Amino acid sequence: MLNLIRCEFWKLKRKMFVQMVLAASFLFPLPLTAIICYLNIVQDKYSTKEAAFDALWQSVIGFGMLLLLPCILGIIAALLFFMERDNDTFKNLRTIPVTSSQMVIAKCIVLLLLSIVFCVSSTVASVLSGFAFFGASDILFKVLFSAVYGLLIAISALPLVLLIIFFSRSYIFSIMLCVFYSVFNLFSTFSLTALPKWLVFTLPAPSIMLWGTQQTASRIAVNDTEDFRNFIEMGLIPSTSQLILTLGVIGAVSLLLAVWLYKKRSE
Amino acid sequence: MAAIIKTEFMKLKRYFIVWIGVSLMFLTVLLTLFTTLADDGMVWNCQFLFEQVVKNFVTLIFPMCITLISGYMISREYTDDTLKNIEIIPISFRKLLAGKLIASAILSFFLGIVCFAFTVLADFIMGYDGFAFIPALTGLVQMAFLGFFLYLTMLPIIVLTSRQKGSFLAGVIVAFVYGLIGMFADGILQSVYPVSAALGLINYRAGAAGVRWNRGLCFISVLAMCVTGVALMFVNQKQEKKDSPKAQRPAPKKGW
Repeated sequence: MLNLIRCEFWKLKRKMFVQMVLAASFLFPLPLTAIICYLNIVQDKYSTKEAAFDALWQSVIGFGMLLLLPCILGIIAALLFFMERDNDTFKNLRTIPVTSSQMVIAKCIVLLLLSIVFCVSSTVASVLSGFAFFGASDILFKVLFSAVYGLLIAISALPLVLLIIFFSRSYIFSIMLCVFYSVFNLFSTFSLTALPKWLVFTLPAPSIMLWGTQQTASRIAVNDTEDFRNFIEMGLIPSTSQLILTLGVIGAVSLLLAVWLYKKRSE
Repeated sequence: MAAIIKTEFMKLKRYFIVWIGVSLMFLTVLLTLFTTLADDGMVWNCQFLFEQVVKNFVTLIFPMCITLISGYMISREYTDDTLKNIEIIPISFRKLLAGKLIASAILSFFLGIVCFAFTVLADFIMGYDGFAFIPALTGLVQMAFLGFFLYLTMLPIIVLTSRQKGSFLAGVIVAFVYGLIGMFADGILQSVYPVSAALGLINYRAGAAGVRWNRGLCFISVLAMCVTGVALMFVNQKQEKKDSPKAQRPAPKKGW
């Protein structure tokens, strides 16, 4: 399996994809730093420099990790899964022999690793901005927690992988799916109180966001305290075991179906 | 040039990409309707629905959508390997690109109109009050021009990513972030940031509390992006890499 993962990275290296993922992780932290600086100067919104840095990190999580990352993972998934089809290398791999399930699992592990790299890199970018403009604090916790975010978001993006294999059409169609998935998740976070509780717990991005906010609440200054208290009162915040169970079921079902579909298409 | 633009539309007829654009416009309206679920005490009517659709159109969907469509139109020449055939006609890459960009500009008007049509449809389905002919006509013109102005602000990204096969996917991600940042533009920044400046040019929510557009700044901002895009078209591409040593090796003699 390790060899297969290494091979996947070699393929990505040809397309400079790791570098592009790293570059993409800086897309949000830089403008968000400018916005928070502007808010701090014009409106004096944050009481301390640490609070401004916390606000930056939370915005990077909300927009960079929870919104942009699924889109990026979807595009990488499309590239990874269509690569064998486009280059007609599937038959060669099968004769080694590499099974369909090995191939799917190796590609999903690559996605997971890239997801962690993206999240850690986003936090590092925020910390660098923090050092330059605000006061960065609790850095190790933030870096480690962003790695956890990367892991959870990668699992939550597995249904996208399933859809990409299922439709197996083109890159454009895959991008459309990813955008729909990300934006739908974003919009559902705006309507949390109006949605049925089971849906809030089932939708991956809102669950991860709420769980993450609760876990970090004791270490950082939470932006929207009133909303957060409201969510606690309504019992919308999933416990760690609930989150693991939900994401575990979503991930396992998506992965099993993806392996089955990939096997079926290859016959 | 007219022939090139006409050819682009003939190609577009074959591609499914226009339908992707139309479905993304449908998605914009659908997602806006999804936000009606939010328990924020807002009373929805026709005008408010239109304003919310415009907000999502500008910040979430359209920048990415038009970059995707234009990038796809350009990248098809690489993937179908038709550039060599076009260049010997001869039509230079710059001229071809200009034709594609003009076709995309017309498409941006069209997508704005489509989005407006879906908004009106959604308004009738949801049964909101306040629909009137004159404001609707104004809305149609506003949405069509908004599509065009937003396209102008995306021009540098489209032109930059047109130079390499497949790089338009990176452009789509950049356009998505570029559009989304417009959500945060506030005060004078609204008129300076190109994406939100496009809203100023169509007089979006003019007169509403806290919305004051500096039309001159908005115009300069959008124009600057357009000029940058056009200027980038005239920047020479890097020279092709010299042939590898392997290719320079003399061909072996044939026969004995």
